[in-house]
Amino acid sequence: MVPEGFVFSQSSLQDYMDCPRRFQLRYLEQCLWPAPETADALDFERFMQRGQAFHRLLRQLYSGVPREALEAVAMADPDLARWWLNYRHASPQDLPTAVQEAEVALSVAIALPEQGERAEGGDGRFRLEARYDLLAGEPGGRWVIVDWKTGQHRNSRAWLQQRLQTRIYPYVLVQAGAMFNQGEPIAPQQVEMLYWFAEFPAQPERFSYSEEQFAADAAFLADLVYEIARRPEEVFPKTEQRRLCRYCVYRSLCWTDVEAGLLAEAGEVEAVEAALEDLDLESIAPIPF
Amino acid sequence: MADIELTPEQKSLVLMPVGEPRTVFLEGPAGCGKTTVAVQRLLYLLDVGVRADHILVWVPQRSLGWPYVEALRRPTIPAGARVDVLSVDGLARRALDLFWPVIAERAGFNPTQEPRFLTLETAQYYMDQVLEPFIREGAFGDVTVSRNRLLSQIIDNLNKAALVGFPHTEIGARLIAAWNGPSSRERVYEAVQRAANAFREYCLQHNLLDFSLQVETFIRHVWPQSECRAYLLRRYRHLIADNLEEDIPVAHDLLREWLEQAASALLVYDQDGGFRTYLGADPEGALALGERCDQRVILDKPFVPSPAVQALGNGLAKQATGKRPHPAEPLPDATQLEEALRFVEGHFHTAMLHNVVEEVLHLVMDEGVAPGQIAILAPFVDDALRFTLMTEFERHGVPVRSHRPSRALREEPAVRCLLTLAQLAHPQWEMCPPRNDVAQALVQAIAGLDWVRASYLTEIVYTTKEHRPHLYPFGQLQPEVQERITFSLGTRYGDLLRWMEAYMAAPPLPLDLFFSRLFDELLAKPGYGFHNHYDAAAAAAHLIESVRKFRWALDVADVDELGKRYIRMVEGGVVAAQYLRGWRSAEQNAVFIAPAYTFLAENRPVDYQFWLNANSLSWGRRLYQPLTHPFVLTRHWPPGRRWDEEDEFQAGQTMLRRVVLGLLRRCRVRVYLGISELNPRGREERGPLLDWVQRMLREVALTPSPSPEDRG
Repeated sequence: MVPEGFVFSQSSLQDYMDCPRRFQLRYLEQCLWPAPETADALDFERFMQRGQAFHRLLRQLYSGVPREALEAVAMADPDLARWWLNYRHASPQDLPTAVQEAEVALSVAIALPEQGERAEGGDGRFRLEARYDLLAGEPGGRWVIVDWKTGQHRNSRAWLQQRLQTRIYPYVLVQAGAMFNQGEPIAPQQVEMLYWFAEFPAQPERFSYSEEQFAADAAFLADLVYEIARRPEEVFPKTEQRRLCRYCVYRSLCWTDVEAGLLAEAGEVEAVEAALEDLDLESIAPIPF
Repeated sequence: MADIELTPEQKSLVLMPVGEPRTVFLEGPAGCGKTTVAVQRLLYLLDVGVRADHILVWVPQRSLGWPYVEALRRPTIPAGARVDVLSVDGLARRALDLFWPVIAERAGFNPTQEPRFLTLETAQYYMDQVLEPFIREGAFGDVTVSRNRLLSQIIDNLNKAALVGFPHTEIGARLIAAWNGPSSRERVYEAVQRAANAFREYCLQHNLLDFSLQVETFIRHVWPQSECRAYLLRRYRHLIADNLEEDIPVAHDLLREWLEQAASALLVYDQDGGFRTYLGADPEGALALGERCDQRVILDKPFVPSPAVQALGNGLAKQATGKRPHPAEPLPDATQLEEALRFVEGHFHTAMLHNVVEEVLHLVMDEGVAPGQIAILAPFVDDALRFTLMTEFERHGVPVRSHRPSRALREEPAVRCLLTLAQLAHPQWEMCPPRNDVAQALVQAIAGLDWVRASYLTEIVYTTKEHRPHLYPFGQLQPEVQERITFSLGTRYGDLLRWMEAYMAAPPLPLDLFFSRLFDELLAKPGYGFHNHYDAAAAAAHLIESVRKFRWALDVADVDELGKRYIRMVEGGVVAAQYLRGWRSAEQNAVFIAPAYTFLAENRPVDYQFWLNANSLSWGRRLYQPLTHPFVLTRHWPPGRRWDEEDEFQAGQTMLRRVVLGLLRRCRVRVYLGISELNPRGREERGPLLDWVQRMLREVALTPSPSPEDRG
């Protein structure tokens, strides 16, 4: 049972798409299962920490911290220095400059199909949240959602296209971005999603958005959330793709014979990508008091 | 906005045009709907189009932010950005994370290295290292407190300096100036100062930021920096600050400056609050903020307590000061006392507890009171008290919850198991766990292995050679021994041993990764104790997180050294000693057993309260803290004045009055006082709370009861 007021995200919905059981364990039951994400856990930790450090640098840059102060931090670590230089030499081109907001979260109510007229007003039971690394736009003009990618390989366009992030981020911006656009809703055709790869700075990937895609995403997301909310099973089904389980911490809860995979062999495994997506805002959560 | 019924006065506050007046100070006793107003005001701001990310909800601690967090989860909230709900230390942490490269050098850190934020555990670890030479030289003289309390009091002094806003180098001088006893204590305070200085110096050299340094660096270096201040003021233009009376002086300073620039601000102050004074809260400083606001509004019509409970509050508070908290309100009459106050007595402490349980069962089972509407409170709740009550309620099927799990993390069987297995898998550490621990670890690790077999197995397979632990394989045991253990359990033991041998054949891993792999590759599999065992897995996850933070904070390359140090810290009670909440589901509709202060911090009214040990001296008495002082290390203590017995008495009376009023303002129907002639140690006791009650009863007995018409 999904509790009222539950906040869906691209990570949680992608988890559900990959493995409903993983979604249930992670988000509904909040089950702590302290297995390593990959067999080479220290490499994974370093990979995460470097990614986090790079995201922090760009957050600081776009929040107004002087470039020269950041330069000294970046140069203290060889990997970070390489990414930083890549950024300096080939940062995303043609970004609108009127509005540039680093690490911003937007959320919108999800309207379930059964709610009909009421749903039009957005009076659903759940919310959908998107966290953007960078949002750059021009009121009345273009709006670019930038996502920094610090993986070791460049994701293919086809893989990125089928990721929920590519659908959810523009969808939420259209629904919830009016505050940046002088109070006017942002039209789908104004929105672009841009993936920028720290290791492949000259090969960013861009996805434009449209009215048709927006309508399709609205219906798709409502159906997906409806499906999750109405699942009758006590235990959600596990994925059939055992390869994904090698990079899932719940592997030993679900299976007796699945071993953790190596980071270098992860390829385009969503769990590894999602871990990076999740770290940005949560990493600056307040300390307990 | 949500459909919630507001009084016309509340509604007018909620619907004030944004910025007109620009700043409002809302005050009143607890239970008058101030937070309701503030939450509805937040929803109103969002409704009229204020950007969510321009609003900052400011609270002194996380639990007091829950009404806002819950309101913001409603699906009816307009689409848009996120409202931040933060305390001053949360804000400090975010600002430091963002502006570190700009301020690090000026604050005395290395700007090219990232800051390492210390948890309470890791701060205690470093303080322990710093204190070692002091303890060796006997610097703390005749002060006899445990090492952990020594650490925590010196850390507390640093925190007080940061929260109050005085240089940490003045700690010793302030304590000495107020000391009123033998001069030998002055040397102890000098040692306290030297230890605090050494700790601070070490932190600066290694880019370590404990809580005090986070707050101090934010206040002294981030906030004064023009670009940082401009960023924060631009970002958060609308402020809603609740429970100001529980917040710290530097938070009030910050708010005072922020108010000048904010587009709108609603400050909420709870009269008679200030329960966190021991932790640095400054109700007087909070009240002074009212003078900086354009409009001051008082809500003083309580919604929570019945008239009888309100009158009881007036009657008791009068005993502290001779004055009623609100003179217009009546004192209780005999009928009201009968309605609002009952006694649950017993000669022995256990008999009183038994009678309390009976009374609760009567309320729940005979009168249909929801368990969640009952709170059982005491000045301190020790393990024995909690265990007795929880066992009794569970036995009768009444849901019950406590303020913390029953055990510290390091006492969880799953955690003890992992710590013991770590020592066995790292013989090079030369740490040999006792036989009893090894047997317990095997019981926990191997499903189906009982204590008798585990003890027998340990007796035979576990040995130590040259200070190193060693386990023999199952296959080397005599057949009759194998038979007693059983083949299937022996196989599981054998697989555990093989896993550890394979691990030992490779270079060692950091301790947290060792735990994680052992869990994933063996203990979570069928036939082992963590298989499908969510609570054990959660305890293991918390242990792993604790070790990982320890590793990050220490930055020690030698993984063996790291592992050994962590285990020693566990044994010393420094780490893995926290009572972690949230890994077990908290049933909300349950009888709540907690210290009175914890109940107040939750700020959740109930119908019925039981105040245990009402004749105890602990009501109104502070903890023994010889190396710090919550009243001297404040802004209000006159320099050079000595703290004497009268000060101690008055402080106790003030705190007791606050607690009593705070509890009664969160009680709708009735309070039961639990009194035993003999306390748990078998001694008679008579504390100030019972004195107040008896004085009030005498006063009421001498006053003729008003007729119902008179009472209106």
